[in-house]
Amino acid sequence: MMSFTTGFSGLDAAHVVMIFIGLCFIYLAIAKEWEPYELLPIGAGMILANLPLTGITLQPGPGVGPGMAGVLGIILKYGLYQWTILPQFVFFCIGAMTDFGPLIANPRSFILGAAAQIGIYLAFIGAFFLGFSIPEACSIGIIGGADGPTTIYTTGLLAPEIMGITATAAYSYMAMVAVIQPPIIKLLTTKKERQIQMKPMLRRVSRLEKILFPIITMIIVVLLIPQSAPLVGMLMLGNLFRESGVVKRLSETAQNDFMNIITILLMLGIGASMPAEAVLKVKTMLVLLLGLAAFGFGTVGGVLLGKVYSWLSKEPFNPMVGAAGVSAVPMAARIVQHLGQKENRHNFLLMHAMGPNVAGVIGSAIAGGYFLSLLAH
Amino acid sequence: MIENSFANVMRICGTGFGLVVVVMILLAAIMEVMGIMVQKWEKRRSRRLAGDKS
Repeated sequence: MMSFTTGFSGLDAAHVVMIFIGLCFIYLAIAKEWEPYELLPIGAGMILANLPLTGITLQPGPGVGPGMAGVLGIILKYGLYQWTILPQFVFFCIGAMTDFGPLIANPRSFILGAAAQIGIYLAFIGAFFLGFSIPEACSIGIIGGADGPTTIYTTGLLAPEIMGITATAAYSYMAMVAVIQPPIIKLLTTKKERQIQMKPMLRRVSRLEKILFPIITMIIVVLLIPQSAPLVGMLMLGNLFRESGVVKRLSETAQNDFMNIITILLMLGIGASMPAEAVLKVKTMLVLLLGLAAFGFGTVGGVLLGKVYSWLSKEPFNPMVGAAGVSAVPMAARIVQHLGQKENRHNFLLMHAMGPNVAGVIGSAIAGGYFLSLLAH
Repeated sequence: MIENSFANVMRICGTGFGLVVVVMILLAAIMEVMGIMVQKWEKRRSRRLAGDKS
């Protein structure tokens, strides 16, 4: 006897709420242009995953016959949960897109990038006190790195059940840098400090330095924290492609087509990892709040060290530059530039802020690698 | 498996943040030295090339 069932029979209030949230994401991406490359596929993935009886998120495994696994299930299993290859490839593409020149020209930016990682650890402690397990607390803390791929990779291995939420929080807060950071920066700095004019140009960085940078960083960091290899190693590999100048086609592919393909798969996967039963919990709100706190504390850490630099430095140093230490490349650096120009129109802080900004990417990958070295077995 | 205890949380925090700071300071120092050495080498090389031409 053949039967036909519509999706309405399986639809409940929780699914409707998740479909509505997915629609909100699509609205924000299209109407407000908030991180559209991320929020649009996440929203669409969320809707698809919450439409009942589709089987689209059914993962391959025992008892799932040929052709039965859904496309989103395949992305989830092989891209995010089991092999976790998608965030690693994103790091490779980011490496190919990133110019580390401002960091090489001013290596003390590394330390500003480190200070801004304090948010990760404060949120980690907060999450533990709110009842999360240590692996979950690590995944929540890493949101403070404001680094989507690191958050996804770490959470995929430590606490896959909260991956959708942590990833969405990381990308959403990155989109909201312009809302979150300025009040914190203004609270911690005086008008006089914000007006400090730094020298307009950084020194020229040679091609040889740019080629040596990814090689040295890869060897040092991976030797010290082997578990950071999938992140730092891939980041530096992509950067070596870019700076070598001899594999232009590969570098351009990584920066454009490959990045776009990986973004589609990764973001759809994140959307699909948010079925109603996993998201509509009090725990979700706590993750979002802790992620926001992590991001805020990261900004505080960066600005406070920026103030110390400002007091100790012989040359004028604007403490706002420290706020760019939370990765969120290049939005955090742009915010610093914008605030600097608002206070003093002769101020050009962008290149000074790009140093800590790209250092933050390395810092959060090291933090993620350390968590994994302790907990991912 | 790490036990869910306050002592472990503080240990992970202290070691983790300490490690990030130490690695970043180390990288900063290496890049500073690398920058100086490369600039010196490039100056010497350009002088040598200029000498060869003359």
